[in-house]
Amino acid sequence: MYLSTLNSCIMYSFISKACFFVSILFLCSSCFQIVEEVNLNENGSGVYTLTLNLSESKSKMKALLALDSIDGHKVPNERSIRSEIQKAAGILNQMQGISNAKTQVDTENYIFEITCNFANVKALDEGIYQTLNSLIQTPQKTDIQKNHFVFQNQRFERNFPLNPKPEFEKLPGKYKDVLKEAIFTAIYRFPKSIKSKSNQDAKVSKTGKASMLRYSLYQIASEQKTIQNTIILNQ
Amino acid sequence: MYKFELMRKASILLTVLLFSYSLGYGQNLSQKIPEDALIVFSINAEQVRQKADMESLMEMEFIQQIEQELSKSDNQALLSAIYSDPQSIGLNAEDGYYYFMQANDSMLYMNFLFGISDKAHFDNFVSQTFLNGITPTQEEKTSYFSTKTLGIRWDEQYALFVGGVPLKKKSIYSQVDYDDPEYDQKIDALREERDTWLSKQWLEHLKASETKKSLMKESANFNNFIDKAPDLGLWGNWKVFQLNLIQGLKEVRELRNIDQVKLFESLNALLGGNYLHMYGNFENGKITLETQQYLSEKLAKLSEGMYDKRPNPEYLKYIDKNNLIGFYSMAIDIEKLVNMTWTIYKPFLESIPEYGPMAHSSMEILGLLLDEQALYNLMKGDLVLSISAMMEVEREYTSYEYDEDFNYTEIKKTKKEAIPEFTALMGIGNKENFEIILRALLRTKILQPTEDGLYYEIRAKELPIAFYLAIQDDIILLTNNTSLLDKKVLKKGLKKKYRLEKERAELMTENAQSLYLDIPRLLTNLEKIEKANSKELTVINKLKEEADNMNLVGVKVEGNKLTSNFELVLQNDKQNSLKILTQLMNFLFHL
Repeated sequence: MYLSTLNSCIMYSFISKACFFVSILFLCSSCFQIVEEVNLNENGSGVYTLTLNLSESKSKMKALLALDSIDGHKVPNERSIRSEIQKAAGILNQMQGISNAKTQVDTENYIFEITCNFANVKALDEGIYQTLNSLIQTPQKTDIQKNHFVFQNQRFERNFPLNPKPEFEKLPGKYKDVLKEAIFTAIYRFPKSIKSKSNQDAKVSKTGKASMLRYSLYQIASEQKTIQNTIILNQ
Repeated sequence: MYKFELMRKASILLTVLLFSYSLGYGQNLSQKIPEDALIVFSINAEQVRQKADMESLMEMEFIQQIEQELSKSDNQALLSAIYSDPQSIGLNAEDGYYYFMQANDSMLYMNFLFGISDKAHFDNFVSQTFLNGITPTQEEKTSYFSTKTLGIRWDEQYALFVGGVPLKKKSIYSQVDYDDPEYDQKIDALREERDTWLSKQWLEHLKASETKKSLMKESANFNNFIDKAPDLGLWGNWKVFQLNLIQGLKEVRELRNIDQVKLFESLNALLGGNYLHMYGNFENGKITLETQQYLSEKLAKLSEGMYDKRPNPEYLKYIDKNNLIGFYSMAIDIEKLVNMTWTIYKPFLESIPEYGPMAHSSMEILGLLLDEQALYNLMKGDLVLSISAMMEVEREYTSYEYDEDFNYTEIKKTKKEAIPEFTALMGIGNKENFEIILRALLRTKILQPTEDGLYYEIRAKELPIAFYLAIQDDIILLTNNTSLLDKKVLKKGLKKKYRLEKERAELMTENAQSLYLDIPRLLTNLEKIEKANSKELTVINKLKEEADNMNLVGVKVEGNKLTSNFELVLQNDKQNSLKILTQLMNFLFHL
């Protein structure tokens, strides 16, 4: 920064006008999807999959990943993204009750997936807690809590023990706008049919054994909507 | 939304500044600006108020919005009085207002300077707004008062308000362990300590300013600036960049231990005496901005002749006027630019502890090994970049399709993205040496020759569409516009009827630097990208009605002074541009 500042002392008019001219070339928006999927078996075990699909914004991703930083935030490179996801799988595999944690990284289309088997929902919740705790190094680390997933007596709870609004409010408007185009989808499949659900926006499948909830990340982060849902299964 | 928020805030600031009852050029008051001011902003408000047609302006609804916004500010009473009725609080409007910045190692100070016409009124205003029953400190006829956010000194003649930002900021939250049982009490104590320190800083700064020499007496360059009286003015000296540098050095861990004294001694010898002037004026049908850079003797000598070159007129053969959105052109003496840049950067290398001398020596040895002249002469140093359209390209992406039971399968979808159709033109200097580079690019398959051998394709899977490079008469043509790659067009250029008209052609080829942007054409292209009925589309349509073009002409060299002129030309050349601007602001506020 300081070098460019000094240079601009001399090359002020050249550089600033050239930058202005080039900046008009980059007028595009971002879209991405997060899909969370839980397939629950009769005995309480199951498979958890989390997918981040940035494919729709891949041209912008390519441009962003070529940068060192944006607005003072360091931009990770493809290698470090891959490494972090593998690290998450590594942590999960060390957890009791979690097995076969693996990742899929498609850097051509920018689709990142992590999946694991769990012996019971408590093990899955503990796994998510420990993974987030190990990976997140910011002051928000203290906000990480348990009970994202609870399953007891045919009652499945998806909780959201976070309070994103204060951080969301601090975001510049341009980032908030990006979140409007980002979609979070939660799909939960059960061995028995669904008796009731607490979140009225959640849809129940034709067989009655799966639920789906879709919100934009903007709705979730601004707390207009919550992904919290308690699903009661028929006995 | 973010764009509107930004526009809204900028509009408020601009309006408050523009329509304050100031002249901005009161010679007596300007004497009070201290010699260490880094940047001074000036507003010729009387002139501006006439151009804006204040009577009709005051009837506009967005003024009411500004009043509402001001009421949310901490210093609402002050801002509102400056804006609406400065005399009511005892300010001398005729002496004008000045805004200037100062800095030392630990603080960045922002100062507002006002003339006083009625001290009793001003005493009353300060008492009601800031004092809350506290008696200000009195030293002879001067009163002082400070809080954590600002300090004020005033007497019969003038008032100086100061606020600012600590440069050595250490968050109070990082000083207490979050698990500490007395966390809240300790944070409160630290906050109080910080507030007391800030309040003391403002007072010390105000008292120190009394004893400083006047910038007008010390700087002939500043006097030169103040005499010009544009609608809006900005004066800055190179020490602003020094301040920025100090901050920059702190951010780079490897450079924190740099020998700053040595560095700034070297830089001061080179850059001391560099000044920047900017003069903005609202004329009928256009807004103009003249930028003047005054170079130090050393820098002026180093840059002598740097801007004597001009872009090759042959480039005009490949610029199609019919779809042209805009162009940027430049021509510079590369050898002089490299020498000057190296002279500026050398002190940095020398000042870096441990590695600096090694790096400096390595650069010198590299200079021995490299044929510097061959590098300087590889290209001619001229460049034209033009944009002729926004092309729509289809991009494939992966999405999901859900069945009745929410099982999903990956599907391929397409979306349209806008890519600029561009042409870049550069002149080859030394043909033989350029051939060496070209062969290397072919060997590494970065360039692939086409079957007819007329041009090369640049292949990269990251690129959404193909780019092409052609070489014709020592001109490099880099483009994604295939119509330029026709054999006849490459050899002879576009037909004359497609080429730029005289005025634009001269702008491009008769200046060391130029910029031209056809705003309606750019907006027409952006229109295709924006969603129908969106706010952006409404703004685009309005701007299309008002704006015509943007252009820049530079760099005119007169001794040590470099001048560039920028213009924003509007469609209506009968009305003052400021009046059109305020009407536009009002329109945006209605959205």
